[in-house]
Amino acid sequence: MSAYTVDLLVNAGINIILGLGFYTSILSGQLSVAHGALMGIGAYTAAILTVKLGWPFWPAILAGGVLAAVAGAAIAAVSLRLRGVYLAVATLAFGEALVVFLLNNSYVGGAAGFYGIPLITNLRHVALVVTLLVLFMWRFDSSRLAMAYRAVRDDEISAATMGINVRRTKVHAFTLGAFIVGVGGGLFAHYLGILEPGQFGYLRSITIMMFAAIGGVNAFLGPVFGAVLLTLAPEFLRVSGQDRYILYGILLVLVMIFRPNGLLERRSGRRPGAEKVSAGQTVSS
Amino acid sequence: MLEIRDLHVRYGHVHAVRGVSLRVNHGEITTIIGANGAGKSTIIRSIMGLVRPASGSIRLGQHELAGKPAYRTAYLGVGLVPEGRGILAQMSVLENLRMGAYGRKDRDLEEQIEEMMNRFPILRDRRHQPAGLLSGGEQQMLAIARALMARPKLLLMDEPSLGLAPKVVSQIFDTIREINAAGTTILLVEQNARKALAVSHRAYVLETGRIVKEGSAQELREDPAVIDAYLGGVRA
Amino acid sequence: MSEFWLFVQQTVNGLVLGSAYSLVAVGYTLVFGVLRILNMAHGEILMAGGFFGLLFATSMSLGLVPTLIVAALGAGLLGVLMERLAIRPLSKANHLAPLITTIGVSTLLQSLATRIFGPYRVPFPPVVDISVVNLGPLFLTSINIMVFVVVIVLVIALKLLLERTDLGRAIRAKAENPEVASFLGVNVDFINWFTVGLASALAGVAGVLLGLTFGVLSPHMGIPYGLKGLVTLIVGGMGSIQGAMVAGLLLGVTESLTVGYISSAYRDAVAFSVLIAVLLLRPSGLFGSKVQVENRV
Repeated sequence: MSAYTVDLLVNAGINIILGLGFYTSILSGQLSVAHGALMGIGAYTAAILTVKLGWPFWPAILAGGVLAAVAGAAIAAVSLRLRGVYLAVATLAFGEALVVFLLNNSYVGGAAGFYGIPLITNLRHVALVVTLLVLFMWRFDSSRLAMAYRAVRDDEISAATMGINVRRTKVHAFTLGAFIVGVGGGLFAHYLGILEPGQFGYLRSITIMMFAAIGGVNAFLGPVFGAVLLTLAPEFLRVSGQDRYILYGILLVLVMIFRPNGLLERRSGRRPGAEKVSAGQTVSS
Repeated sequence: MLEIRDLHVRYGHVHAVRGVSLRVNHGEITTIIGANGAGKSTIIRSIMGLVRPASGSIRLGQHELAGKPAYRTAYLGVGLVPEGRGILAQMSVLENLRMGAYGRKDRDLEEQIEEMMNRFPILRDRRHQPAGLLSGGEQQMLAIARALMARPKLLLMDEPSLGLAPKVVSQIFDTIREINAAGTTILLVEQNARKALAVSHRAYVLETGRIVKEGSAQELREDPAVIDAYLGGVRA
Repeated sequence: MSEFWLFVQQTVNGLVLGSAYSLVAVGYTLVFGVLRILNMAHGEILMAGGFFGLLFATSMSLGLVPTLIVAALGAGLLGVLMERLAIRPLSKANHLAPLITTIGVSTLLQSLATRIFGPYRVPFPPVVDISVVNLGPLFLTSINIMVFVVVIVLVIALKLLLERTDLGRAIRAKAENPEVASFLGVNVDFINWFTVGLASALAGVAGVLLGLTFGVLSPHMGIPYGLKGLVTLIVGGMGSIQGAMVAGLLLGVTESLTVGYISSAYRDAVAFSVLIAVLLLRPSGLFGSKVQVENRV
């Protein structure tokens, strides 16, 4: 297998992990723009542990995930009152605040970046994590827990009357996702070898969001598909570097117009009901 | 003036209006009575263009209204006093009146506003206040005045008595009579059958989306079935 | 300069910068109030307007006002296109779809701009003669004054439009209740694209003003200014123009004082700290209404 192919597969694999990390939050109705920063926490933590404290690879990766999970739990707990757009903006703010913090912190290299991370991650590591994660998601997606997530997403009040602890569910979903994304970050750090705070800001967060938004938000295969699509498409279309965001942007808009719940979803996401002639609220009486 | 033929309206799987045909004559007050959920409001909203019918025709003179957006129907001279009054709570009374005449080229805004304030003195007192501060009855008056600002050919009224105290309801219906006497054709939809039949010329009875009776208001007032179901067993 | 005057100088600088933030926030709040969506591409439209201005000012040696007009028209047109092509078709989708779609548009615009102009900063042509004005011990450039004046003029004009004209009343009516507006004769569809166009035009002007203030434009400038405009929007309360004005000035002054007295490294952190604080304590902002936040947006 050529180095190019391996690189592609590793990137696809890491993106799958990131997409699945985002998935748990969106499944519970929480649109997060903080996942880039959470990935960053996982990345920096794992890197610090291996480089500065000499930890072995897997414990460092897991620790990165744990720390990201803690951060995720904190964000979720604090933002419980917020919904929809307000929550998205809050997560955005947290994410950006974190990047600013990293930029100004010389222990992790500040703006210049964190260098010298051992290049441990290879295709086998990524494949292992992806496989475990996909298996986990497969069981999870049809579990009662996932049903609870979906119930909270669809109608918090009804979910509460069904006996679901809405607060705990939301924090749980966010924390789980943060852990996954943190692990992805750790793998990323040891693949790239260097880290810069700018890699984990708004652009990263929305790219991660796109995997699920384009692939599908209601089943775990959605983000998997979206991650693979968005990793491979630029290669096939010979679109390089920054230009792939042109592709992403267009794709995102098109998907929102035609299949707002994602390409893989059977329910298209477009509401049926009485035709509104003029743009206004739907009819009641 | 208004002719509806075989109107069908659906909300998703709910068939709210099933093949309704009716007629509103020029210069008259026509009423549709029926229980809650019978589909009366839906008919009004279809005429106004707030809801698109699945099939059927709604003709105002030679214009086909079915499926037209509401603002076009408004331009053709149809006014609406909606269920729940539909006033713009954050805008002042005066601004609500101004919006009533929105887009009309043939208007003397200041004169018309004066006219409305003479007819409904309560509006004059409160003209700069946010409309949301008015009482239910006052809001209803405002909604009617606002609709009249456009000098509509046909005025649609959706449950004007809903939620109002009996004394206020009487005032509203007196107003309806006056407006009609001054020349406005009215299509009224009401749960309060007694009051509605008392002011109307012709009426229809709607049950679960279908017209089950039609005739002059007099005929319906004396119809035993109507008396039983809608007039509380007592002749109106 | 004495301590007191230093403080005043910082505050004045803050007010000038803050006025630009206000202008950006006013655009957000217009679109949110009327269409009930958060336009995540607003910052990128600002950037595009700035670049339109730059292109025309350079190739045609335009003065200040023509440059502003070109930027406003270009950005406005872009906004209308976005509304027609990417937002209007979404009327049937879930309520987060417009947010996601505008994120897509912002990504598209930013990467297009990077492709056309490169990833680095581009100097903004001096369409205004830079001179220095001394108000007593205070130090202001002609650009500072002009930025502040343009913003004040535009906001007043907007207020007049909304309060005194038929169109303005129609916009407010639609914002409050689209259905009622429609049966009163308002073409709600037109109001939608007009509002986005208007808000975008204001963003375009802001882009030029910021380009003049800092002397540069960057294809990535949509992100920080978009985000700060967003902070201003939320702090001021979504849907309130006074709120946007006040919050923008407050943010500008706070940033300026932070840079002056603490450290310039934390300048951006101010915006985000304020945002987080507001979202946690009073998400409806200074002038907004509580209802929206707790239920749906």
